[in-house]
This record gives sequence, structure tokens and C-alpha cells, in this order.
Amino acid sequence: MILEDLCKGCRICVDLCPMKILKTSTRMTKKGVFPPEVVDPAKCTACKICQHYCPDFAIFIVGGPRLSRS
Amino acid sequence: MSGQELHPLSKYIRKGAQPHTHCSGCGNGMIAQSFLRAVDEVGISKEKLVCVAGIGCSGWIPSPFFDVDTLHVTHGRPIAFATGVKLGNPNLEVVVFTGDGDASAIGGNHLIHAARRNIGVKVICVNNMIYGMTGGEVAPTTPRGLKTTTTPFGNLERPFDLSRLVIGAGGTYVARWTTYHIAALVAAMKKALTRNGFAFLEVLSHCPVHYGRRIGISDPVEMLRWFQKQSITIEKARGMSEQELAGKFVVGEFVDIEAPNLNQMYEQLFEAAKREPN
Amino acid sequence: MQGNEACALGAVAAGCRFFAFYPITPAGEIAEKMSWLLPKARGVYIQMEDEIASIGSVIGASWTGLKAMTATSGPGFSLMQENIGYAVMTETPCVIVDVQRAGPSTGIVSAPMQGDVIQARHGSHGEYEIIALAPSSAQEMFEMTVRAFNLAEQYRTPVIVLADETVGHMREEVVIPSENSLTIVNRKVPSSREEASRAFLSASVAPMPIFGRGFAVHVTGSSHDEYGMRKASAPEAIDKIVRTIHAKIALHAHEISSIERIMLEDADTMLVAYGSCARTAEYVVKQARQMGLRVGLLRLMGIWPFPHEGVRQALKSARRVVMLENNLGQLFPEIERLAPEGAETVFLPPEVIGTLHRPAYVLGEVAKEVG
Repeated sequence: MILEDLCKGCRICVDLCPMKILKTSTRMTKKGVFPPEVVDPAKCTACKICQHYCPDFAIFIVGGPRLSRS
Repeated sequence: MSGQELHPLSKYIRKGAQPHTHCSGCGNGMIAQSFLRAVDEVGISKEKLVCVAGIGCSGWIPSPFFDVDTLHVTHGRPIAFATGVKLGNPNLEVVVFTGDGDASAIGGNHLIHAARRNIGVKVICVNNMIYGMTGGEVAPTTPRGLKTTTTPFGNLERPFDLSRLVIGAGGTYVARWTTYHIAALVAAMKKALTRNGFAFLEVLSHCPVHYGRRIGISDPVEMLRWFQKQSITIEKARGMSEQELAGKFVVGEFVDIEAPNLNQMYEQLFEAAKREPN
Repeated sequence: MQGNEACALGAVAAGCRFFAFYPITPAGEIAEKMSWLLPKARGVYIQMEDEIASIGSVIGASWTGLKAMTATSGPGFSLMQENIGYAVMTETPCVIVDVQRAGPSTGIVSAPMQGDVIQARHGSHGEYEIIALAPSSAQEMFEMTVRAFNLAEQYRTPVIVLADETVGHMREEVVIPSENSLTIVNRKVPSSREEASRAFLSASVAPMPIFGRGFAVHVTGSSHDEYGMRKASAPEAIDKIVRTIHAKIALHAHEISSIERIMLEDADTMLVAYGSCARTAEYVVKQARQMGLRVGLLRLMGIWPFPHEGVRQALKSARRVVMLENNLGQLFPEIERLAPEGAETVFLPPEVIGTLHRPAYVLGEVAKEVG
């Protein structure tokens, strides 16, 4: 789950995801930032690193592994 | 907002307080989430939690973001106010959010006395090694030689090791982690919250905008990686020389002992005073 | 008993259960007495590391619902100003006793002076109102301390008991009223989170959402709205704060600040005094009357907010107004302004500032022909 309106485009989640399934999108939000997008949801292990490291509470896991979605 | 799902920690966040006003990628947001996770996992009720905040970016971690009783006070003084809160109502869980300047410059006196008294207040000291909110002035924690807005020729002074300072003052729980070590940070916060007495948790926090920029790292991701590289555990640091440790951040739990807290001492006093003749 | 002791007894009688202190002469006796009385009442006496921490912890304790007090003298009072401003801004009830001594700076620790009067009004930065009472006897050290707590609770504001070294150290008979004859005022506390949300900025004093009741109150020294939410850039917010605090207190000056009229009805010459100077003034009035002079005394009991109307009315028929202050004229400008047209106004400090006026000297001045 990515809450775009809260994202500030810091890219910490993109960098720290151990499965490298997050990528900075090229689509700008109305806040003027480029949020992350999930490129390979099947690979998500729900480790919650993205969730726990996000400074803005803007990304979190819903459901278990392989069930997370944008 | 997309979707109906709420962040698992939503219940702790004040309505209308999101997004918070910290810079993009700021360590403060990560400390905020880590703290709320710790509160949630320990099971402290919102009604019992009181957050006392100093002045500086760290003060904005709880204020107005957390949906709990919040006391945002004058610069350097949160620990003094928190002492009054904890003595006034010992049932409250009182947590102070303070910065390195707030706690060790203007607030230094209150910090060492709270540690000495073992008042059951938990201090989360966000150390970004500079005065962030006011634009990047040198702080008592800034490494020697660094050029800041007020040390354009380089800082002349030696910095504090904040954890060492509190250990010297008698702190019964003293730990240090960086914003890279989120899992360890949450664990340390949980320990601080369940310990009986004074707790000092120093969190080295990345501030790319004011500190990182001065050392050529203006990206939050890069600065987190820098923390990762520069950190060394207490165990590994043992046996290393001062020179080898220069520029490194020694992280871990320095002190963890149980000792009667000040509220307990007052309870004993009340009993003893009852028996005294008028 | 000593004035300072009576102050401590008054505090405990009023319900004070938190006292923080940093040692300073001539306030020490208040602390010693509190350190003995409070533990027996399950109250906290704590000696903090400095005066700033003392007033800070007092404010923190007040937010848990306790009546809290600190005591100090000039140098400590100066240090406390920032946090006093914080208490004003956050509408925190608390009592600060300033046992004034001769200043500026370290000065003379055990000599009286009335040098902190303007400071009591404007010691902190920014535009605000404060309540300050001026006891002039050991009895009033008891009564005015009780009153200070009542006013603090009623108006949700810090209240200063502006004593001085003479009043603090004098030993006189004090009558302690029985517990049930004392009027005690307690702050209003909201009964629901809904009621608690408007925690600030009501001219009729908002109920105080103390900590630990689930109100999630947000208390800040920054400019804010009635919900306590920070409004750090809109001047309209600070305008509202400044005007509301003014309305809350200044507009109630007549209820808050009392005056005492002693033989003013037929007086040509009216003395004006407060605190320890009022004792000399009262004595001089008696002596002057024995000499056949029509002299009276207007005693100020509450000095901030200044009781303009009461003073103006009381001085209406004076031909000469002589003000006694142990300083170089801190309240005198207010009196000058309010004296009737055509009346002569005289400011009379002691011959030696930092001592009480010599009665013979004052009498000499009073007996002078009206000009």
C-alpha cells in the first residue's frame, strides 16, 4: 500500500528493499514528487523494511507475502 | 488518499497532522514511527502517554503528530517540565523528545540532574550533530573542524559524546543507535519504556539538509548508508584505539541497570513523613 | 510566626501539593517549611538544579492537575521569566513567590526593595497580562498566598506573590483560619474529550484538560488556536491570543486587584503605598492625624492588573498625593496619571533605598504645606 499524497520522494524504501521490487516512478504526484511503485509484487516477502523505514508512514504491507499491491 | 487501508499505527496519529513537516527523508519521521511501534508493542495506552518536546526539529516528532497529551515547551527545558509531570502523576508514561542542542547545550543541566535523580522519564535525544531548525549552526556535538554556518573557518571545539555524558551523570539505561538501525532502535525504545527509571536513548539521526550537505552527502539514502558504514558495535569497538575509532559511531546498549526511581523514593518518604510528629 | 513561614502554610492550606525550589535568600524559609509540610500531605517538595527548572517542573506538575508553586528572589525571578511567559501562553495555573531583595544583580540579599514591580508585569517578552499581589504583613503572606492559588485556578494564569525581604522575614501573630472557613477555588476540568478540545483562548477561561484523562491535549508555547494547534505564521492567531489573555485578566482588574482605604474620606493628603512601605505609611497616617493633619492611606493590595478605576475613585478628593515606594518610581507613573487634576503628586523613596522609610522623614514631607 503506497499513500502517494504522504510520500516525499526520499527513495529510502526503493534503496533498502532487499528484493529490489520498488522503483522510483516517472509519474509525479500532485505534491510534486516521484513516488515509488512496486515492479514485481510476487517477489515481496513482507519483510516490512519499506514500511518501517518510511519517514512519512506512506508505505505499508497489506496482507502477507505476495499479496502486497500499490 | 488511495485505498481504504489505514497504516497500522494510524490510531496514534492526530487527525489532520499528516503529512508531518519534516524534510523529505528526515530521520525524525523514522524515529516517530519506531517510537509508535514500540509503544504499540509494549502496550502503553494512549491515555497514559505524555510526550514532552523541546524546541528544534525533534520537538516536532510528537508535536502535533501524536494523538496523545503533548507538552511542547521552551528550548532546552523538556526534561525539567517532564520531571514535574512524572512527579505530579507517577502513573503517566512520560517521554521526552529533545535534540542534541536542546539537551546538551541549553538543556545540559537538566539532562545530568535527571540522570542523577533516576526520575522515570524516558529521553529520546535526536542527535543530528548540528542545529537544524535554525539553519545549521555548530552544536556541542558537531565534530571538530566541520564548517557550519557559524564556523565558516571550521569548528574549534571538541564535541560531546552524549551517551558518555549521561553515563557519567549516573544514567541507568543509556543506549545509542542510528536511524539506520531501525530494528535495534525499536528494541531499545521498548526496553526504555519498560525499564523503571531514567532512560536515555541517543539516536544519531541523518540530517541531509543541514549536516549531510556539509560533508558532501545531501541525499538521505546516501546518508543512511554512511551511518551503516561508520557504525560499530560496542563489542567490536572494545580493544580499538582512539585513532581507529575516529569518525566512527559506537552503537549499542552502554548501561542497563535497575535502581529505585525517584517516584519510589517519594513513596518511601511519604510513609516516613506520616510517622514523624508534627 | 515569620512571613515566609505563613506563606508556606497558606500554600498548603490552599491545596498546593508540588513545590520546586532553588536555594536563594531571602526565600529559603518558605522552602524549608514546604519541605517539612508537603511530604506529610503526600505532596512533592523537590529542589531543582536551577530556577528555570523549578518553574518548568511547576508548570509540568500543574498540567497533571496539581496546584504547584515556586519561590525565589530577584536573580531567580529574572531566570524564570521565559517560563513564566510560557505559563501565560499556555494558560497554566501556578504561583510564583518573589521575595524581593535589593538589586540589581546580586545586590544585597537581605535588604528590602521593591525593584521587581515592573518586572513582575513585563519581565517576560511579548505582550501579556499577569496577576501580582503585594502582601504587607505576615498575616497577608498567608492570606494572599491562598488568594494567589485561587486566582491562578480561576483565571488559568501564573500569579506572582510580590513580597519583599521585610515582609518575608517579619515575625507577627498570624491567625490561621480553620480549614472549612477557607474559600478554595479549583480549576474547571472538562468531562469529555469533546469539551476538552477547545482548551485555550476563552475570555471566560476554558476548562483545563489535564494530562492522563485521554484528552490528548496539545500544549504549546507557539502561537496557536483555541484547540492548541500551532498557528505559527498567521498574525491573526497571535492577535487573538494577545487580546484574549488581556480580556481574561485586565478586564477583571476590579475583581482581581483590591485596594484598602485607610482614613481617605476627609483626607487632603493621601499616601499611596504597597508591601512593606504600607506599614510605614499606616504608622505615619496615625501620627499625622494626632498632629491634626488630614492624612489618609490608599494601600494597594493587588498591583497587577493595576486597579485603575478603584485608584482613580479613591484619589478623587485628594489635594496632594504622596507615593512611597522602595525604588525610583515603578508604580508612581500609574498614580501620577490617575491623581485628580490640580493635585500635587509627590514621589517619596526612602532616604536610603534598600531600607524602610524613616517615619519621621515621611511625616516631615507630609506635614509640608500644600503647594
